[in-house]
Amino acid sequence: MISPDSSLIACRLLQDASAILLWGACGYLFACVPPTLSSDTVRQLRPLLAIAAAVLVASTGLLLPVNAAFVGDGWSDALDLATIQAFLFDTNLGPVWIAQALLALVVLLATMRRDPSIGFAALGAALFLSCHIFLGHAVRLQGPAGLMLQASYLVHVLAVGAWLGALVPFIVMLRHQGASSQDDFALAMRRFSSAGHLVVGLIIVTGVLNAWLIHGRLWPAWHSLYDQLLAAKVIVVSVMVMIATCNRYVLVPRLKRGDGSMRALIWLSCSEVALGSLALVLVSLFSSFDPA
Amino acid sequence: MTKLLSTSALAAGVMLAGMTSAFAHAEFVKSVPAPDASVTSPAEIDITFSEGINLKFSGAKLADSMKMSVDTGPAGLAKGGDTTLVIPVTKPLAAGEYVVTWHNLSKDGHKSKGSFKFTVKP
Repeated sequence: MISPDSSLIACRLLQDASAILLWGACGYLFACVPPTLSSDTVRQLRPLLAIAAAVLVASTGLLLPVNAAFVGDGWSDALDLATIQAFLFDTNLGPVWIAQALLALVVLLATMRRDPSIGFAALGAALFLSCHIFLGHAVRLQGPAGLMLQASYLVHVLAVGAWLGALVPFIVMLRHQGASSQDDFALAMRRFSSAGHLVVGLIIVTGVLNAWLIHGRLWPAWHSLYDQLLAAKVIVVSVMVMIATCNRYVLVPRLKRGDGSMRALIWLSCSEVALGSLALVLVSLFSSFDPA
Repeated sequence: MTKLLSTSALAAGVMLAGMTSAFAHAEFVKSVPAPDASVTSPAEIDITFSEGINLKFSGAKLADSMKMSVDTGPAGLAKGGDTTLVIPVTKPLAAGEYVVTWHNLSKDGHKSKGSFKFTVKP
């Protein structure tokens, strides 16, 4: 039997992965891609967005009994009304779950439409991810330092989501670029690049700030399993940044030559998504350990 | 290019701690009576944790040296904070060794548990 603890981690991973995809993909298509190209790409991505929204709703729904089992005395409390009620109304975690459940439904409604409302989907998913600032280490500190940590955490989570999620429509556009207006395509690429620099910059700045505020240090100590998994994530994300840098400054300038650079760019962007997903899995694994 | 790559790698290395901590434990910090202390019968047992806890899913049990449960009042939080659990001791404790077994649900959603002993002086 899977323990409530492991189920909690699995549900959170599914929640985060689907919310990140929805926020990053819809946000990029809404804000950075010219309307015609955006609609074409949304049409191609629609099944994936709908699946992501369904996973978001399902994993959030499952979290209620899983949370009841976790805070109570195991699976026997999963459907116990008194425990569920106590979780919802007598802990600080209950209202966060209620807010996330409502936001997940908004995102589902926005993506299930024949013509998905990507603006609403992006906003809903962004607010969903923002709920993270009421959980985890973000609520650990009090006073001005606590507010600074929550603000920094908010920017960090949204920036990470923007980077990972936007890669998916970016890859779809690369694969179908012959079919769209070259001006639109070039504009979408340029905006991906400028937004990408900003987003990665924000991730670094807020990551440093978070590390300093939470741990009081910037580099892991190597003796614990927590720090070893953290180190694994350090390596994964470093490779992602190197790939992104290589894509932007080596492959993109060579695209006009038509020497296979496009294929390499698509392949490397796909591997960024794979590495990003691996990083999320690592986070969800070591997030259950105490960093102290 | 190499410089750019190594700078990026270093920057990435630093950014990671940011997303690292979805949960943390509300660890035992101190208690009154302190662990292994010899005291006169206390009016209450205060246990302070490293971060805020949810009272609804937190508590402590008191047992004597024969492992018999000792009745205590309803658990509460100390005034002005959510990091200290207060267990009222309703009747004076007889001399002897006692074990406090506590559990908590922290504000960030992690469970933790532990125990400590203290002695009531004759």
